[in-house]
Amino acid sequence: MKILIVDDDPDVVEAITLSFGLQWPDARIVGAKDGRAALAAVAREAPDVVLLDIALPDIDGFEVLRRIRERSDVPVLMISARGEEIDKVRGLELGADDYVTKPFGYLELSARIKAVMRRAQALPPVSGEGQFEAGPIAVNYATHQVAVGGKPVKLTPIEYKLLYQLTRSAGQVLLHDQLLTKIWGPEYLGELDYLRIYIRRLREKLEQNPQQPVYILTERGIGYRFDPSPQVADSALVKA
Amino acid sequence: MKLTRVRTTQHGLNLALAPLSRRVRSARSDFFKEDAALSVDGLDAGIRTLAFAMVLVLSLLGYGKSGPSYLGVSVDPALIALGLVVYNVLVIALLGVPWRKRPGFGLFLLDWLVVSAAILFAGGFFSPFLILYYALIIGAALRVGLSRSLLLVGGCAVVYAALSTSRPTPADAIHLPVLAVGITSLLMVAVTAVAMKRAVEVEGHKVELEEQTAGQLRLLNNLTRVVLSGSPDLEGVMRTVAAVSSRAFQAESGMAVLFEPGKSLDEHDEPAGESGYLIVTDQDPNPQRLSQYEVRLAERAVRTQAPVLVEDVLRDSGSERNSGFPGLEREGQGVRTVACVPFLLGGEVIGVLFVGRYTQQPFGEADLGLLTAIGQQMTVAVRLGRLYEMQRERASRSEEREQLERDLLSMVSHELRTPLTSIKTCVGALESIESVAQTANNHGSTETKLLHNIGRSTDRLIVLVNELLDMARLRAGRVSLSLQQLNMGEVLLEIAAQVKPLLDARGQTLALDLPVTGSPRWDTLAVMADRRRIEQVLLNLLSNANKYTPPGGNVTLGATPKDGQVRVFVRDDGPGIAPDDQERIFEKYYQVNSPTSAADIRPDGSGLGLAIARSIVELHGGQIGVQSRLGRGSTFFFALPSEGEGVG
Repeated sequence: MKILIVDDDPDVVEAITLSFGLQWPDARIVGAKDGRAALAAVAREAPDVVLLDIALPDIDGFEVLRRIRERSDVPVLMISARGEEIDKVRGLELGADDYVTKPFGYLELSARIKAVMRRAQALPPVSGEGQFEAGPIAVNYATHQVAVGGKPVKLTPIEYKLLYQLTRSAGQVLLHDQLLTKIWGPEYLGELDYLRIYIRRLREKLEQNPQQPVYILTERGIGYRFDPSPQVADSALVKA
Repeated sequence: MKLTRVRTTQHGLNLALAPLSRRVRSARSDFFKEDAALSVDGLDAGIRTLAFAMVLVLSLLGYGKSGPSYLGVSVDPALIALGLVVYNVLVIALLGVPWRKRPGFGLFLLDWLVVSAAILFAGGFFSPFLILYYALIIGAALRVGLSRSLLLVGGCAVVYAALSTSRPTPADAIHLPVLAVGITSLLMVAVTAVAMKRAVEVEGHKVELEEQTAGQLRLLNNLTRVVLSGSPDLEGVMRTVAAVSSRAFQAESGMAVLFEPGKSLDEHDEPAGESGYLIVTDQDPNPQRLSQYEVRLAERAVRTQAPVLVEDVLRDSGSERNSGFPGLEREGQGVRTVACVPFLLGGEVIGVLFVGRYTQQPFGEADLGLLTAIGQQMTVAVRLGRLYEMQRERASRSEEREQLERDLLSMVSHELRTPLTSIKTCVGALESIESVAQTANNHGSTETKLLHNIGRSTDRLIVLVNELLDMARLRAGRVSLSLQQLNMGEVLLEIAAQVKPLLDARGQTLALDLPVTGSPRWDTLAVMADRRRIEQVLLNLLSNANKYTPPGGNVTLGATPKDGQVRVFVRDDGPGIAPDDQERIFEKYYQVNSPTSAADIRPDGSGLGLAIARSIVELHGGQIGVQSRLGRGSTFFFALPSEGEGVG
């Protein structure tokens, strides 16, 4: 396994490198002290996971993340001394897989890395029912293929898992914490930002009008619900 | 035509008019001045016109009839009219000739001569032109005093008596009683006219005084309004004071000066801009400095702490003409009369007001009252201005300080976080090595103990930094809640599981006081809340209970619905909190320094935990509080708005 650590503080890079070396002797750890070096390392080393600090001397961490996402789906954990809500949301929206606030413990960080990698790889088990259809949306549980109006749509693993949970319980309300526990893990209870961002991405990929969704519905303050047969004689639906 | 004459000779009658008109000119009301002049001249003209008309009528009635009678006018009315015309033309022509000293008196004399001649030639004793004497006497009496009027009456009486005995009237036709009645009535007319004039004057003076008082009150009122408007612009207030005072006293110049504190008056003849004191006048927008004379006047006012009045600047010893009052050199004029009023603040003169007149017209007792009142208003303005300035400075300083504190907190916290990350990571890694070694040795080595110590201290430091940052963010309003529907019972069960090891370590028991899971009562524990933030509050309350309750103590965690709210409480049987402390423990940085604290309790937190808890609860629209008695334990509680029943 190859881990890229991007942080301008060499002590942090060294501490993480040494401690990971202890836990995962077979892991290779690459350090980068600024944004340019980080982008070069992503291209050159093709790491399995990236730990990315926001405050970098040359390019802003968010910008680095945006450029990484232009060409790679590698799991990225933002690590930042800024614990502001807005930074977290921005990082997640730009495609970060997780956001850890400094100072974090060594155990916490390794747990997070494992979780991120697990989420990025594992997909839900193949279901016996095989196929789900609602209007133009079609989900093939066996192949993990999703299509809208016959055209295939590419979903990330987390997006797929979220859609899987929603469609498997179509018509029922799924509570925030239920979804968070099932997709991210029990340590993410209450982290509504994660859920909100992925729901929005799903809507953008599946709904005709993401601002006025008819399939993936919000139950304010409670959770989300997939409506398999919306009672909307809307032109949007007719067109779809 | 007589009317015309009277009007054109208005200036000519200056002798009689002068005393009144001077007084009138000094009156504050221009309106009254016009009115008074019109009443005297108008009355005079009216009486003359009336007299003239009566003479003409009488001459018409008497003309052509023979024999001695009261109407025995032997002159043709046409000739009489012609004579009057000629006379008036003559008078108008004579106006061009400069009368030397007493033009009014000269004209009166002329009038008198003409009337006397008319009497002489138109019947003597029987002449109806006597009536013109009345008009003359009234006209004079309206302008001069009683004694002069009586003198005139005496003169007229003598002349009339003499004329009566002259031709063409035969001596035996003269009735002495009739003559006496004629002369007496002249006297009565004179006295009545003088009395009337006096009455008009007194009334006019009264009106004048009232107008003056009302005007002063109005000015003072306006000034008070300006002063109390709380305008921080002291210079503007001074400008108003200068302008208002010069207007109030019909003075040409007003000037307000504020001394520079802690500086002697001698130094105030420096240019104002450099020396820091303040001059404002109603004339010169940029007065430069005080003159030597003005400084001396101000010194006198400072010494006596009372207004200084100078009747005549020229006679005031050592003064130089035009030495003061910027901008008053025009037209060779300068200030003749000055009032200098001190502004007294707490027994100290902080400035002065100068009011100056070009004319030598002294300030009187009545003026002194208004001057003093204006000075007091100015003092109030200065005091208010200073208070305002102080307040503003204080406010901006405290705001600056708070901003600095927030910036510092934020900066320090951020800068601490990165090195703490290294320490924590390293300690974690080392502990994992040590734990392997420890398991092998089966007892803690010194190194392990030291390492654990570093680990604990690091954790405490991290908590501190996080609390500081949290507090800064909460106070700046930068914390937004992620509200979701929660069942407080479920949250409490999870938290209890989390903190149990902590309490176990101190031999404390943790009891839960909750409704039966899934029961209708359980469902009433639903709230809308930010799970992470509420957990933060609960952890803080529980860690306090853990810290301050002696080993072996009991802690109870529970929730009940109450009055549309869900009330969550953490109860312990620790030492309790003194009433004074109870009020303050939710303030930031406050720490209880209780002697009853157990020896192993030390206030190692930031003192922010409860302040943060309060902010979070209040952000949810809830309340937080404590009930405690010394030696009987404490119950911390918070209440959040309930999300209704049966929803879960």
